[in-house]
Amino acid sequence: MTNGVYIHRSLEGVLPDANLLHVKVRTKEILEKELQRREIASKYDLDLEFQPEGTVTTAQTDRLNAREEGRCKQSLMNHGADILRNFAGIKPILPYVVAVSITILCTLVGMAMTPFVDEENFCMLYLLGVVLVSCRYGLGASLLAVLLSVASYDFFVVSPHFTLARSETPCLLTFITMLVVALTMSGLTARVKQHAKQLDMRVKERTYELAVANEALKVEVASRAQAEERLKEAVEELARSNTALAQFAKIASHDLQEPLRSLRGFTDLLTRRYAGKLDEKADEFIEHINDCGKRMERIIEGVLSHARVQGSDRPFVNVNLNDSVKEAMKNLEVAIKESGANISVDELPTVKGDALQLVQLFQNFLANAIKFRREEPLRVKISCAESVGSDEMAAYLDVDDDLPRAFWHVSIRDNGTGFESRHTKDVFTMFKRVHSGQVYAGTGIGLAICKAIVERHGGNIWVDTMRNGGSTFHFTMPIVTDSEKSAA
Amino acid sequence: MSRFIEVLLVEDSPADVRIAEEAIVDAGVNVNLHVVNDGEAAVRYLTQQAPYDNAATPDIVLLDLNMPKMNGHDVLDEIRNQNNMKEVPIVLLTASESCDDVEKAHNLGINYYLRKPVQGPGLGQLLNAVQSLWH
Amino acid sequence: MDFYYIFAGSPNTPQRVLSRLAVCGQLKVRGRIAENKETPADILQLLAGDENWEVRASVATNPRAPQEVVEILSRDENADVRYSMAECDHMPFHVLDRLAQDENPYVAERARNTLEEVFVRLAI
Repeated sequence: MTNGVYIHRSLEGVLPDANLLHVKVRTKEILEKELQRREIASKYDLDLEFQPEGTVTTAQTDRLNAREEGRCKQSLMNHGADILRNFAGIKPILPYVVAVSITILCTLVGMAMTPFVDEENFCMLYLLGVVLVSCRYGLGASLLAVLLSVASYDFFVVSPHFTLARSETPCLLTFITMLVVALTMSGLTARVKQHAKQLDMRVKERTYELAVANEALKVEVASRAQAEERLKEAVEELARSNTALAQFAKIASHDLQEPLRSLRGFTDLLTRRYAGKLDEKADEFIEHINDCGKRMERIIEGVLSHARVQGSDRPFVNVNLNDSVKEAMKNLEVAIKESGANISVDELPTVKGDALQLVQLFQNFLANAIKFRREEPLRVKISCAESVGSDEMAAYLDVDDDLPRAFWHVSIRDNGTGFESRHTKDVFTMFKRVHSGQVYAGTGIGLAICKAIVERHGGNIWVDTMRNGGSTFHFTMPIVTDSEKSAA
Repeated sequence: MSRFIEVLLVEDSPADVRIAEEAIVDAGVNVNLHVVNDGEAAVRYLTQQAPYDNAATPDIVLLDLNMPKMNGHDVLDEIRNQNNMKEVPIVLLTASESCDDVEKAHNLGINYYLRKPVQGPGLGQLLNAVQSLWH
Repeated sequence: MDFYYIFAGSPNTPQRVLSRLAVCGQLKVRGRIAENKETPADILQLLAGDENWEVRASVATNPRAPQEVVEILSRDENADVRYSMAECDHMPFHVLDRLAQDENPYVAERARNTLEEVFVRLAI
């Protein structure tokens, strides 16, 4: 005995949208049911296909089985019983009994009324009887009723009584009429019943389909929720590790600073006390040690700054970027004057952020521009535009998520040396320097800090550049709506 | 010739002690330098407990912040309100860039702070200023 | 290095040191002493007669300034001194009141505003 997938196919034409209802039944009584179903199928013109296991099954239908199995089997059995009851095959007795009784009743009534009414009118009574029977019961019973009615009518009512002598035209006419009526009525009745049954079945099918879909949805929702949960965990994990890294960098740098300081202290002493008193080589060595010490100091400071950016928990406040630029320019006053740089600033907006870090941001950009200038006087232009996150920008920045919010897009353009455009992503990496260290002193952390600051503020940072063509640094910052601003 | 300034240096790192010593030499100021290596010893020195029973209250205290067991803040807490310490200038020696640390120290009663590594000229000027103002 | 300046402004500086600084310090130093909450009254009295208006203004707005000093300074001939007092919210009422009727309109207006602010705060 094999398990299999049974497909019950709804009757096309009767049910306009024919849907396939897959019912997977795993039971040992399959064979008996199958026999019964095939019987029903042939009588009712249903299509029952047997498909071996291994075809399309889904988790949902798997689970549904247990539940629906009972129900479907039950309904099919009921259905089958219903169908069978309405047709020849196993013949229930009741309708025929009723047919006979009604005919007898009509006859009795007719006989009782004979003295008062004409005999011809009694055929109507029998007609009534036939109609009643054919309304309630099917073809067989109504046919029997017709025959009996005509016979009774002829036998009991039409004179001569109790004979079947006059069976001519009037009887024939009556007979034909009754027959037609009976056939029509019972046909109609049968049709109606059939439709009702099919409707019922269709409802059951639909309910089942809905249940299946519902189950599917529930499973989907559960799996989504699970995925979301996992995502949240992953994000938390990442944030934790990020913080841990930042903290580690902070602590390591901090601890590194101490011996470095002592080193500097002693090299200072050496320089002051013994410069020129030892031989030339000693002086040279001392100078190298000094330089390295200074470089180390700057690097550690840079790493610390970078770690501080991300580890900072200062809350965001409204910051007017114009003020940030002014303060950055003030901090770089000397350098700006020395380089003769001309810095023009457009009207910049107010954003939500960390005031100190935003000053640092502009300061780093400007310091860079000053450092990497050419012989001609340096010109820097800082401008701002409102922009909505676009697909092009998303593609450029290599991000997948859609940018629903509007952004402030700030650009800092200079006419300095620029650099090779293949380094555009590298410049923001820590310690990566794209100009040789001999020519341009620096630790390569400034732009990494800029990146960290911009990202902390929820924006993106990138650069357009060309060798000897100057660079334009861009960064975005989410636009704060007025309601959010006033809530600050 | 000015009298000798009694300086108490509270510093745990030997390298920093050495640097401070040299800085004092560079400063060209006449100093009697007393050194203790941790907070507890500092407290005992300033309260004239054993083994510092005979220690005189210093003219100036150079106090390091980051020390094991008992750090600079704790020392300040302990001794600042003592009678003999109320008027003694305390100078914080710190490597810390943290504003919070310095602010906290100010709240606890320091008079000045110097960045480490301590350097001769700066220290010299400070010592002279303190000398002329406090004594 | 500005040791004197820093000592002058520090609340941890002993009073006798402040006295010395008050006498021989520069303008900035005197100003800080005048602002310093720990400065003793007699020093403030001394500085109330300082030739520089900023020092006098700082004395006037020092919470520890003695009453008489405040009274005298409220009649100071320099309008800036009076203005600084007018915008100081811990000034005694009668002083603010007098300043509200000052001949200088800016001083008067400012004193009036300060009075309003103070009353509002009290009402709350």
